[in-house]
Amino acid sequence: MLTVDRREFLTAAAMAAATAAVAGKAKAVSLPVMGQGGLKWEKAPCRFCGTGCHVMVGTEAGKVVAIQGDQKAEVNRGLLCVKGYHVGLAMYGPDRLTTPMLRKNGRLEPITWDEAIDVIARRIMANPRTFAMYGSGQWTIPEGVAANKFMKGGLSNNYLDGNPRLCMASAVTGFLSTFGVDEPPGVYDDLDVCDVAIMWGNNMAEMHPVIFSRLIDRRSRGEKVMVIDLGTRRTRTTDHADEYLQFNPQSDLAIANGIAHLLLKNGTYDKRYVEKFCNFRQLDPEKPDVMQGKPMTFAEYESALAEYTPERVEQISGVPAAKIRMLGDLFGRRDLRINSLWCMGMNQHTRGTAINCLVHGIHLLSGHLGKPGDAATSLTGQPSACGTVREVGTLCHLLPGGRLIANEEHRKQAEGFWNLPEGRINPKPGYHTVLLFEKFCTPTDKGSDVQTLWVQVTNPGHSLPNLPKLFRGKKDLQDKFLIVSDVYPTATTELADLVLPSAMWVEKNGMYGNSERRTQQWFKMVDPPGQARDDCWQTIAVARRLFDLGFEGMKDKDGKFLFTFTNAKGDEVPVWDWNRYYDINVDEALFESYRPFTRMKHKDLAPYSEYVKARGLRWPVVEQPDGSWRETRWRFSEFDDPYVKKGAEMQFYHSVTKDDKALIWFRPYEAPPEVPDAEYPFWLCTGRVLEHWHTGSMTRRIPQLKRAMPESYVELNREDAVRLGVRSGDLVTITSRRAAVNLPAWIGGRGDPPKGSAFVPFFDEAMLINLVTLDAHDPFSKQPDYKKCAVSITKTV
Amino acid sequence: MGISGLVITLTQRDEAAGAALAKLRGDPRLTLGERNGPRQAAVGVTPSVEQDEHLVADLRATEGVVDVEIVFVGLDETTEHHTSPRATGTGGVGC
Repeated sequence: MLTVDRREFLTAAAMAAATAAVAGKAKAVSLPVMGQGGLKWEKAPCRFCGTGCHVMVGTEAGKVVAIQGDQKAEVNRGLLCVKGYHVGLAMYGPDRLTTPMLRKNGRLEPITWDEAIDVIARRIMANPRTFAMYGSGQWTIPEGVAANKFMKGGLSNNYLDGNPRLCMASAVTGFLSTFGVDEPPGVYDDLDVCDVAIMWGNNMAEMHPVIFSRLIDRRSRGEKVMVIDLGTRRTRTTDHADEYLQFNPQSDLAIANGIAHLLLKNGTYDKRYVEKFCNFRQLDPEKPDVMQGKPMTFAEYESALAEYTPERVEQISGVPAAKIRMLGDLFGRRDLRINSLWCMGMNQHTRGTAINCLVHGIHLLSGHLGKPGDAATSLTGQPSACGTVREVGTLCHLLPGGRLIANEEHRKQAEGFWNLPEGRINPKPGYHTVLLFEKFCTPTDKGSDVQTLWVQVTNPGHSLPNLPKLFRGKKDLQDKFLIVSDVYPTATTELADLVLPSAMWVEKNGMYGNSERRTQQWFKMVDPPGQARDDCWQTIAVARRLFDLGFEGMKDKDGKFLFTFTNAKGDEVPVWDWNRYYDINVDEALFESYRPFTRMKHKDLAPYSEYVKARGLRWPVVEQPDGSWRETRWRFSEFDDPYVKKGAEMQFYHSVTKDDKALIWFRPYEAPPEVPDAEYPFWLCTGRVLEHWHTGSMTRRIPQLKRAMPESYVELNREDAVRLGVRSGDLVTITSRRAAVNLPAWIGGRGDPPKGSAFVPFFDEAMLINLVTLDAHDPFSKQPDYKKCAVSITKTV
Repeated sequence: MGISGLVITLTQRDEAAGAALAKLRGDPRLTLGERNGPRQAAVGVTPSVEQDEHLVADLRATEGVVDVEIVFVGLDETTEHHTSPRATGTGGVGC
């Protein structure tokens, strides 16, 4: 039972939080602390999305008992969303995985950790080239560092990819194509000062609610903020919008070109900015698969845009020409500050790289980039998609710090930092996610070279598109072996041959990197349940077993184990022994080993100890003459970025064209690969809801969130529903060329799709909409398009 | 036991705000704290987390209350509601 002391304490803490919130951020209120041995408060970033809110975690007797928004955190200023307030409960579902389990005669049976590590090591020993690893932006930064070094530096194997390929890979290729370097120039501070916020297919009110409220709350202080919602269905974001511009799927490409066309036609583009800081690019028709394209002149650019008149754009997009002109006029005004924001709508797109480039392009063309409030901001869905995947480089073509596997010099640098013999890193990039799972689901005798796959911190059996092809295909293949490290049973563990129980969130040390280049740190606060252990330890333990079995790759060039760590006295600590893992701070050791990688692309990170003190720091974090460390908010802008030359004003110092200029791309509108027809007459868009994060494996175990949104549904347009004879709550069958799924209908609910289209949130394991979705992907980012495919919808008999 | 820190935003209309405040003061589940303009700090204490959610729903339905923000959640003793969300099968029918 809740003791009186604790009840009084929690009541006092609740009042302190509420008082602080009504007083505003200026009034920091100290949280009450129980007596010795009682409740303790520590900081941590939230476990869920990429916003990077900080929470204060209250623990007592080895358990998380209270959560509140962190008043000291710049990102969320004490606020959290409904998921964040309940994040502590994500650890206490009744079916936590607590024991390693091996499938024997079709059943998962408990085994010891020693046996589990041995099973993995011996499979790798037998055929290291056919082993693959799959992670996500839920990996902490040190976990990603360990996995990357283990695979690329130890096994000489680049079959390592992760969920961010499904999530923000197109944002990466967009940034690389435009600026020559990944991640946004701007920060969340832009939300505090912009005059216009444009949501490009982005339901920010539900997906990033805390920073959306940071934007919208300005209105309650009397500030004028115009919100334009460019979307394919009405959402909660639309409720706050001054303008809702509904466009046909894929036609965002035409809209962006229409804006650029008007800027040139009206002479309202920023001529000085363009001449000083920009070059023009297009794809080379002779080499259409080369992302760098070829130069084009201003006249060629103007000519290419000529067909995108407002009337032509209206034909393609369905957005009235007058509204296209309104957008063109807004971008043409120098007195406004404009912030474009996007997430999956632009990224999960078969022309994701193109639309990312085009949106950057209209900001560059109009000079709306590089000043506070003038920004093109991609938001991320996972807590460390940026920190662990984009920066650490846990994708099949990357090495840490923005280096490329295919670049000999970069491989040499990585071998140097890791103290590896020359030539250890395999020069051939591995398989991107879609191809990796296609190979894993293909029999070995039919050309597959991926036999063993180790999945950590994600749920591809739920999140991959076209699941019948990319995941369920594994089911009957006896020569394939799936290892899954996770905290709960999922659609992925269902087909696993070996299941490893993992520690999560504050059951371990960690570091994340959020959407605005902010690196965050927290310490372990409670023990994981049963035999659950850190993912990072699991990787190191397998590496050590391979070392003990004589696998040469697990030695550095001096013959030492790859993950050799020493304590303050200089003595080696056998961290592969779980009982010794926390004798030192392995996170700190791995992070410090990774820091030198970050300087090449000017993504400098501060020492670990600086992150202990801060609620995150935005890179580049540069040491000052007085020994302090300064973060950077506006990259490439002279007034804030220490790497910009004095007098340059703006300097895109990783420019593709090596002249410090960014690229304005022309990319045409192109139709999607699958469109509705007589047999499959509806568009299907998939996405998320406020209450559930990603595949719902954590949030669906939080009673409050599960009750608030118990199951998935399909949003239908009212006219379509009448025609189909469907009422809210009726079961309908959604069928595509891949599969069919039954879901209850919701008409006039949270979202409102236009006639001829439907929307399904993907969080529900019992209604796997990804059985239906398409695996067509962007040619450069390789990110699949979950936002549009053709389906039929019928009332289920 | 459900314990929540709440910020209740009242309407700008004085009469309606006064009536709402009187109703809040009379609710045994609530302890009111500081007020800053229309924003009223409060703590809700109920016998269960489920009833805590009902409290928030009741507040949102109260005339004169514009918004209710939850700013603190005491998480203890909520596991009695926990059930595994795993289904025995998926909704897929065609593969």
